[in-house]
Amino acid sequence: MRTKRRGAAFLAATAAGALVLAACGDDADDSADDPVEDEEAADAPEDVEIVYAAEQEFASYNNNTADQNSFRNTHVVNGVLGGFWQYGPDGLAEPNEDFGTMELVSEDPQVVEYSFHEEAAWSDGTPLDCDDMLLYWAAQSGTYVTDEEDEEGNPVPLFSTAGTTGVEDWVKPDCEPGDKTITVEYETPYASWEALGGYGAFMPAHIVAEQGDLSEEEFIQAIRDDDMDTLADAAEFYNTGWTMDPGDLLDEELIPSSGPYKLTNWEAGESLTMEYNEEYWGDPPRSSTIVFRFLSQEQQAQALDNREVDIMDPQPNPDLVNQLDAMSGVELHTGESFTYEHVDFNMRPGHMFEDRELREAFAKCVPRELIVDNLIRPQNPDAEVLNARLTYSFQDDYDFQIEGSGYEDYMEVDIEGAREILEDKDMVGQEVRIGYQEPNPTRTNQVELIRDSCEEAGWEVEDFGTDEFFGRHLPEGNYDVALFGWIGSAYVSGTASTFMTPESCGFGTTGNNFGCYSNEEVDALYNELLTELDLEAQRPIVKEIEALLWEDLYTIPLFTHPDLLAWAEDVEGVGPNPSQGGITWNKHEWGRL
Amino acid sequence: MAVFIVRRLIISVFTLLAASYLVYVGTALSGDPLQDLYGIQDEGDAQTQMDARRRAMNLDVPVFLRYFLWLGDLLQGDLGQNKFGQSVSGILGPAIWATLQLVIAATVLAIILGVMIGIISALRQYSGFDYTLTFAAFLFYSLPVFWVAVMLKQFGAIEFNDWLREPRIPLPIIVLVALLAGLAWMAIIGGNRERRVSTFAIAAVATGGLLWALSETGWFEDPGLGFVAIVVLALSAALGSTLLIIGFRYRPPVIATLSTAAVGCVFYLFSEPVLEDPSWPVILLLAVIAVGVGLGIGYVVGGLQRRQAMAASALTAFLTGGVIFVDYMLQAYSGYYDIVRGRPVSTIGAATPNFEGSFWESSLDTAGHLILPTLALLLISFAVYTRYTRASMLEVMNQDYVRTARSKGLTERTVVTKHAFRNALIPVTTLMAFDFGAVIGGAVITEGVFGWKGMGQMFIDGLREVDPPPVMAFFLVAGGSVVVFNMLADIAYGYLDPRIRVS
Repeated sequence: MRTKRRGAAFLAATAAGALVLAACGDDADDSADDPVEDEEAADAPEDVEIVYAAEQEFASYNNNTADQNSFRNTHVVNGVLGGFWQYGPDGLAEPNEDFGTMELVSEDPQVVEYSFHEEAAWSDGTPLDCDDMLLYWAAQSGTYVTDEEDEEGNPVPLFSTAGTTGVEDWVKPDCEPGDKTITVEYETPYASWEALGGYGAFMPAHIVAEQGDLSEEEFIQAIRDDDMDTLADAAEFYNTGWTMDPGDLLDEELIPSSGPYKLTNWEAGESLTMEYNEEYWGDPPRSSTIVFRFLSQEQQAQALDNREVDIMDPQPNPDLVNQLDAMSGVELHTGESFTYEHVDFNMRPGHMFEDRELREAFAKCVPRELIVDNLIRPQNPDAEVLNARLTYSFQDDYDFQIEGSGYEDYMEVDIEGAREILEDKDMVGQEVRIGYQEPNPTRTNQVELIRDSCEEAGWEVEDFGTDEFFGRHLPEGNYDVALFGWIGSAYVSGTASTFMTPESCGFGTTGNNFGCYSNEEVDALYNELLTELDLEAQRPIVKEIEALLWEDLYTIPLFTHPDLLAWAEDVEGVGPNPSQGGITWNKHEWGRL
Repeated sequence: MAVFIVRRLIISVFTLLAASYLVYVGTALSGDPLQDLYGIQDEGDAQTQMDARRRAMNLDVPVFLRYFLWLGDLLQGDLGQNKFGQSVSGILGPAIWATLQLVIAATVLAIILGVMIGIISALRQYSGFDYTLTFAAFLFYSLPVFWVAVMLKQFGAIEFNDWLREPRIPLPIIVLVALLAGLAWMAIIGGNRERRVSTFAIAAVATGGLLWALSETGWFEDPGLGFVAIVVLALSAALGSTLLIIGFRYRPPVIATLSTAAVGCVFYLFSEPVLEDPSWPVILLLAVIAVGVGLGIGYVVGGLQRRQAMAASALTAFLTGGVIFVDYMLQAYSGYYDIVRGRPVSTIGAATPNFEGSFWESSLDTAGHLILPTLALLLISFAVYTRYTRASMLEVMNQDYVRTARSKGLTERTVVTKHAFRNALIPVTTLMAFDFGAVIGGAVITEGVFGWKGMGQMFIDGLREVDPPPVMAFFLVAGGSVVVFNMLADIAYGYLDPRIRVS
């Protein structure tokens, strides 16, 4: 479950959010082996092959369309398609100056200048320039909409896209063929402009144009003229032409590389190979070949033990941690990810949890420390209870964000306090249904622990786990308390739709705010946050929101999900990464001793 | 017969159609196809992706009607797309290929070994060998395959590869294996007490001595057969073939097989240029030539027993060729060992990614990947075949015509191979047909544990993703092959056994 959601949520991580913590971006207290920095960049990579165990098989060179946007593609294309930034070890975007630079030229109106590196070119020799930027805008802004409608009457976009956040705020950019520097103006200020244009975003426009029977100039002109008929064939190729059947790797001309690696071989169901892109103008990667071996998680540990794979990053569970721990010659790292577990109250109109005191009575009996101790520490001995919703406990800004937020009141279980409230309200024996998506043993165990504790306080807790929870009960509001995880990122603005007042409290109309929480102050703060371009100025706003969320007790954060990495000891340069980019973020640094 | 076949076919088509409807509806209702899209915190993005998914999968059409959309596409020869927009036919091709690679060797080996051992076990009914095999068959049959597979990976690959770093067999193990081998041969060959004791002693000493010598000379680090071993094995092949096909009563066939073996050995001495780095066509051609040479020698030398001599010589030639093949493969071992960094037996997949090596090294690579899954599949279906063959053979051996054959004065060998064996195979033949039909549906668990993306995995993945088209493709192929092979079994049964021929 989590892998898939992690994949789908990648876009949330890249395309959304305010860069609130960029100021604190060094990985000071990372317990794992830090990725090895190459002292002197060599001219060519070592002739070495590193094998990574990937659970899902690759499917498309274009990771930007609605049906293809997925982790299975993300972790492949991040080595093949360059971008203006890539994930750093702390999960934050780090500028990638090999590819180009982006610069905020003016704040009002917000203007960003993108400059592709002078030597930046696709591996077929075509320079990265104006047409690629225009394709990025055309495909991801959602501006072009066809006359067709789907069954529900929604218009079908010309270019399929997994999300338009950020790019939809652009004024249509313009440039001449061959321009390396393109200026982009925002219609409305967009705080996380730095999270746009990362790896995988820029697709080779000259290929798209060619497949639509257009020259580069014609393609640029068609976008200038908003000529959708001319673009139709090219868009068709963009949407479906890069989706491949297993093992059926497209010709090299159709999938050029703009990163350190190019795709060279794909054995259906077995492996995908990427080799050094000799045309790459930046520092060469450390190893010449990276192989993705497609392998379900259950089989990865033995494959690592037999050295058929070198690196794996499975979902942790205590048995697996013990198994890996017992292997000789295997390095193990457990850390944390940008996914956090929480309980939400149903605050829809007419529901008992509209009453803050009842929320408090429940919050007081949730055994957060016990949950972490029983369920999470066996996988990650350093795990701590999470006390924030917008910031993660492993981030440097965490202490600043939680200080004085009021979290201390809920550190310890207070059965007496909870019981008092229930007795005052004469609601002892009140039923509470905790809903979650089944099957999920960890969550079933959490509900057990919550039940043991809260029944002492006088609640009657019912385990309401069903396999229709996300699909039906959650959007319908058919629960008292919801238990699930949010996949976030280092950027906080992705959380806006979770905590801002929704349009209405009907079925599926609440956005991510399933419990229909509403607080005008929070709304106002988010509106401010989403347009605040100054990173330092964002921090106090986030802090205020966090304090209000503790005050209102709409959700109670529990813990961040652990992350597990294991690799053969003769491999170095493997570094953890809490973001949805996953462990492959620095595969150009992987090497063999 | 034709009417029977056509009638069967028509009924099968309707059965498949009805079943496909149930499978489609069942799959579509088995969960939420949008599951993987929940949890995206950016609401707009989540909405965009869900809308696209709904469009692509026709989720707005009720399930009961969506089936007919699928059926319509199918009738136009289109298997549809999975929920990520990949064409199902593109997924199906590699999946079928992977499954065939995985199961064919296992099934064929299971049949050959199972039938062979089943027959020996029937001929030595109620002997120690028979009891041991009965016990082993039931044991293997009742072992859960996922457990066997994981154990095989642990001990057959990981620990075995570790051992190969310093391949010396400890003395107690040698003694133990030697004793077991002695017991096995003693039980197979049987006879009176004196003969049993001598069989046991010879087999135990030979096995133990061989293991000790191999271990001490470092054979496991750089294996190979060498000329002497090849001569010994070729001669054994010659004698074995003769024994099996005609016996030693007449001299010409013996001379024919022995000469064939000799020709094989001479060929080996001069084979280097041809077999240095051949290809499969070359190997196949050589196999054909070998069999042809065998037939020729049998024809020339065979005399009155020409027909049997030709068969026995051809078999000898084939086996000798096999021995030479194995020798070349073993010689490539040390090179291969270095390429795979000292871990020749693998736990996953069909080949080392991007493997580049000589023909022999690639063959070793394939063998190293296939051996464990083949063993896992083999252990279980082998058990079934031994049981069937044993029962069927016992039944036949008690028939009147077998007694008649014996009373005619035929040798026991002739009675068994000519009269009993063929009839005993009839029920086993149907079993084979069923087995092949079922096997194309994929060995779901074995594929899973050994990381093969075959038919079984395609089915499981489709089901997990709540994605009907791949599941339906699986169903069509698996269901279709069961229908076809069932029919073949019926036809074969009628052909082999005139008593039940359908009019």
